[in-house]
Amino acid sequence: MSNEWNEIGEDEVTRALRQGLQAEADRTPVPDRYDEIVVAAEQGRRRRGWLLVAAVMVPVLGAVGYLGGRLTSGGLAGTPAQVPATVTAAAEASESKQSASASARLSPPAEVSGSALAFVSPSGAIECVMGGTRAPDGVECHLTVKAVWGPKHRCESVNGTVPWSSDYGVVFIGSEGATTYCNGQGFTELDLSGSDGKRYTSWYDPSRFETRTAANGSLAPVLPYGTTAVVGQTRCQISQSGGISCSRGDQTGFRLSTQTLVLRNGGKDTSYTG
Amino acid sequence: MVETEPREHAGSADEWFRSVYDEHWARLVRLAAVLLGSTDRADEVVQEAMLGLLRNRAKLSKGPVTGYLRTAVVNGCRSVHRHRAVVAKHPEPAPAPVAGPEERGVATVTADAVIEALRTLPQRQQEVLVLRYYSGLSEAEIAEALGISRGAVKSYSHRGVSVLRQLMGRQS
Repeated sequence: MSNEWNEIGEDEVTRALRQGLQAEADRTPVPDRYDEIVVAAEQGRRRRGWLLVAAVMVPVLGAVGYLGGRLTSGGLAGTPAQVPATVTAAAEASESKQSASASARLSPPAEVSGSALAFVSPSGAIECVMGGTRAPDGVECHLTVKAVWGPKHRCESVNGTVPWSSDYGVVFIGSEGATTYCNGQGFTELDLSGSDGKRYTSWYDPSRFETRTAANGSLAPVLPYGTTAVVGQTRCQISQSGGISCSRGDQTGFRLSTQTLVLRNGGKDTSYTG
Repeated sequence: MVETEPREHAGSADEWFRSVYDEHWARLVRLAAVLLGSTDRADEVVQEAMLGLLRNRAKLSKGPVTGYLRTAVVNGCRSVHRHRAVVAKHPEPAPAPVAGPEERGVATVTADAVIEALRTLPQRQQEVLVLRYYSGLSEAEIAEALGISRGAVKSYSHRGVSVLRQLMGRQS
């Protein structure tokens, strides 16, 4: 190797470093995951294909239903969509009442739940993951757009504190409460509809819920305004004016929008505004 | 370390991916383990990177994939590190060495100590040192993998090695 590093050659420390790293690598088990990767990719491809078909068919069926309704003097046209199993009983009751109405458009459920959820806000400005390996103790959210309060708020990173940026800052409820973290690449490395998609979106039924393209290019489910997402003790709700509010049962939570960040720990609020 | 780029295959997409997998899987799992400092989740990180490759194969299969996969693995490891950072503030006692006493000569003990010291460095410095001393990458390749300038790579490397030397000096 050429000495492009412009440093004195190897010494005892760099030699030991090289040996140590190699020893660590040699100790690493390498399980074969080829089949799992291929199957997961195929499932993702089918889902995307199915969503494309749904995207085409929904307006077509809607138009047919509209025309049918006109022809039958306002009668109910079309078949109600299948109710997903994970929508709560209250939401199901609400939906079943609504399905009897003359409206072909389904209202969002009051609550969605699962062991892990991922979603984007209707505007696309907020992306969140609840539970799973990503946010095992609560929820993690970030903004895909610039925050008014961002430049004034410093947050923790492995290299000290740095100013918040929507490029790499996240807000989360974890084992140490509600806090911010600035490092890495925010959510850009997270594929909301990838191999983890099924795990993170167990409530998601594209026949009923809107989708958006997330910041990283993947298709993600939209959490409608007014619907509460629940994973364990953590609850999140998005409002058009206030952004997303998340709370856990221990007086821990946050409210995140482009205008404000409020962190709540032990019932005490810390606010950041422009 | 010389890394060959996947050759263009006249055969099916499956054949292309099989060849990419065979060429890169084991090496990337080991790289992820070294970057993470543990074998836990190393294969998961590389699995995600491979899935990303498959999802974008129409675009990526036309060219070399080594850089894409390496960057995806580094990003995946960074994501795991971020969630470990809170725990790292209250570190648990270091695990016992895997190798038995009869396998550990003087050199291995020194290597263990350097690795232990490496894990105390800032994440970026660790990444640079791992890519340099384990993967044997050039300045330019490390800069590309980490998305930073070559000057920053040199700086992180210099600082990292300096701190390691200091730490080892104190320990000896």
